Amino acid sequence: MKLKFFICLISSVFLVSCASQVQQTKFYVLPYLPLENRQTADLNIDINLAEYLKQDFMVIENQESELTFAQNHRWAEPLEQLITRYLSKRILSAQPENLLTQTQLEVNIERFYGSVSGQVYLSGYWQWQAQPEKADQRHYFDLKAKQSGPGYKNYVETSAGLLNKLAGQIVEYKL
Amino acid sequence: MNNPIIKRRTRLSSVWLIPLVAIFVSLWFVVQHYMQRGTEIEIRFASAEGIEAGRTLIKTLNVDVGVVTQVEINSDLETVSVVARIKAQAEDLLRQDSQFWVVKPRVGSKGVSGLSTLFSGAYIELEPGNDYPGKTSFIGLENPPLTPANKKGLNIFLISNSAASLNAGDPVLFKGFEVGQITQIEVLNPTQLKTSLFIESPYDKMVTSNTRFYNASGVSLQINAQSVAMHTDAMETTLTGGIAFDLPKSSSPGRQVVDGTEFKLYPDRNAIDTHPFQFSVDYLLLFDRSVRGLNIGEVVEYRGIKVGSVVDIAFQYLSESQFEKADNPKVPVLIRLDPGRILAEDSPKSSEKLTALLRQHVSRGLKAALKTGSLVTGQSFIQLDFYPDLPVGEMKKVGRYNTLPTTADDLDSLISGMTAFTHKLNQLPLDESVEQINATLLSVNQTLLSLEQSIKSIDALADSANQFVSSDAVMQLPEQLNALLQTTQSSLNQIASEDGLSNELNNTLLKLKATLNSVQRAAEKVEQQPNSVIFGSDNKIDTIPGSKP
Repeated sequence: MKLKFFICLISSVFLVSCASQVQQTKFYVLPYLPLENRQTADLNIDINLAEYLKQDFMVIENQESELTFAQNHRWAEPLEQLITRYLSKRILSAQPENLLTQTQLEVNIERFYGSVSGQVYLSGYWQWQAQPEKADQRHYFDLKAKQSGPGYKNYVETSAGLLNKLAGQIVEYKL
Repeated sequence: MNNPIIKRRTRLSSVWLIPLVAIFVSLWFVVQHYMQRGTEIEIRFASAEGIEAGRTLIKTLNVDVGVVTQVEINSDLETVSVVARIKAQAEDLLRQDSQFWVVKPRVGSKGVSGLSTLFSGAYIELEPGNDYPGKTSFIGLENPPLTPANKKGLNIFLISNSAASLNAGDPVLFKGFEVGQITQIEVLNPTQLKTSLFIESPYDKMVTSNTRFYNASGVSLQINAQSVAMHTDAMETTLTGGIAFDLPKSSSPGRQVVDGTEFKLYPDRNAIDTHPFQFSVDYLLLFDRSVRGLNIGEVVEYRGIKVGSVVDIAFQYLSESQFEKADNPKVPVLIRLDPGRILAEDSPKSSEKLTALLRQHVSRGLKAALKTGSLVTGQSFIQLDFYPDLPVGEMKKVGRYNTLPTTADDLDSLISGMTAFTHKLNQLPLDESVEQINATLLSVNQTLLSLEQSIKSIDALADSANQFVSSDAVMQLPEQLNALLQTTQSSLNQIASEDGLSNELNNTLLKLKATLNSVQRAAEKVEQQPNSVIFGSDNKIDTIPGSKP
């Protein structure tokens, strides 16, 4: 009788543990940038992400050189496409006049993550490739910003701010 | 004058009667004394502790039946002879199997006895036997006999490999009641012991041919694939040792046994139910994988029904040369199957019958598989089953055992299969494939560009043709042609543009890559935490960015 009770107890504990609630996964996008009723030039941006960024988990730095992948906070689409769309719109909204059609902009991103300390990093280099034989030199950038408060929403906003800065750099050079 | 009367005097005075009577009486006393003094007997003891000539009494059921008259050391200087005189009335007690022992204070596991002799002094107890009377020389016992000679009951002999914590005098229990005692333990041969038991009447009727005896000493704790079980008998046997007997579960009582029947002594209660049958057959299983989690005593099942148990797991069953020669030596597991469970026949012939039957089934695809019984404890057991999809094995002879073919069929093999799959997936040249696809897409793009150029030149050609054929008669035809060409050009432009076919392909490839990534992650998760397949992964809370400024 006691053994039966014991077995019942154990199995109910297991069942209860199975029934525990799974944390809801949240998906994020960069802020939307409307380019309504505007005629813009054609711009090809080629974004190359570091291998660890080629996924949809948000990357957060725990301490120096230690990263964690947030299982429950993810980018809504592959980061590559998200950045391509955002950056190209940012550059085109500045309306640089002398952008050539069929111009290729290559952006290599080495760091694009937040940290528990609130610092958000965006590092890498960009390069205009007007013509393959006349490739422009590399322009390295290492942008940092402190996020306004804790949380993933603030992180996304700060990241967008850094991308704005990068777009500004690119536009300024070309102009 | 009166003449004196002279009377003749009798020769003897009647006074003499008195001494005569006295002599007669004393003679009577002497005879009486000799008649009453009883029989003189001699008892040999190892020591005369507590025995004094003239004082130590001989008693039966606390009635004086004699007294010790003399104590002397024998010529062997190792024993003493006690000469005693038994009263004439008690002479009948001196039978061939009568027993003598000294009653003195004793302290043992059975308690304290003979306390009354602290004040009265030791005495010799005489226990009359059942044989014919007339014996005068006896050998005394060192300790009181465990079972009275005339007590009714049953003598049983138990054969065992060990008699751990058993001693003569320990109780024999039936369902917690003491029904007898261990009378003697002796060594039969270097590997076997013989324990003698005495079961008192009327409990001797409980012992039947199907009764199984087991060592009830200590606590038996067993963890197996199904449960954790603890078993103890009476507290007395737990502490001091003892033997209990019972019928195996679902066993009929069987027939009555006679005095002197031999039984096997099982090491514990579980062993009875594990192997309640007298006859069993051992088979060897050779596994080409780890048998971790399989314990000795674990069950062997046929489709969920217990048919035997694991007896041993050791390399000794493989001959030395077999281990050396084999490039992948297998792990031998010895199992014991009970014909009684399978054929419902527990006889010497049933063993051969079972082997013949199994040989027949093996040729139809019967195999033994190592299965995980419990994911929590990781315990495994052996399952016999038919595997019609696998190649049929055969029964071989290894050493003195027959073997049964084995296979792997459990969660472990699923996991190892998944690991192998992940490994292969990792080895796939994905990067190269993607590069190749990219290159292909590039060439497609180039082709499309050149196609566009071609179309432009066709357009130009059409223009020149238009100019060339500017006559009114053919004016309408070139216009239509022109319109058609423009439509074609716009369609092709759409194909070549960013939102067209190539972009769609790129997206599909990205999705494919993401899917493969998630498959890899899932495989890694299963590899790190096999139980996540069943219990799900840990519900970790993500690090919050900016939480520790």
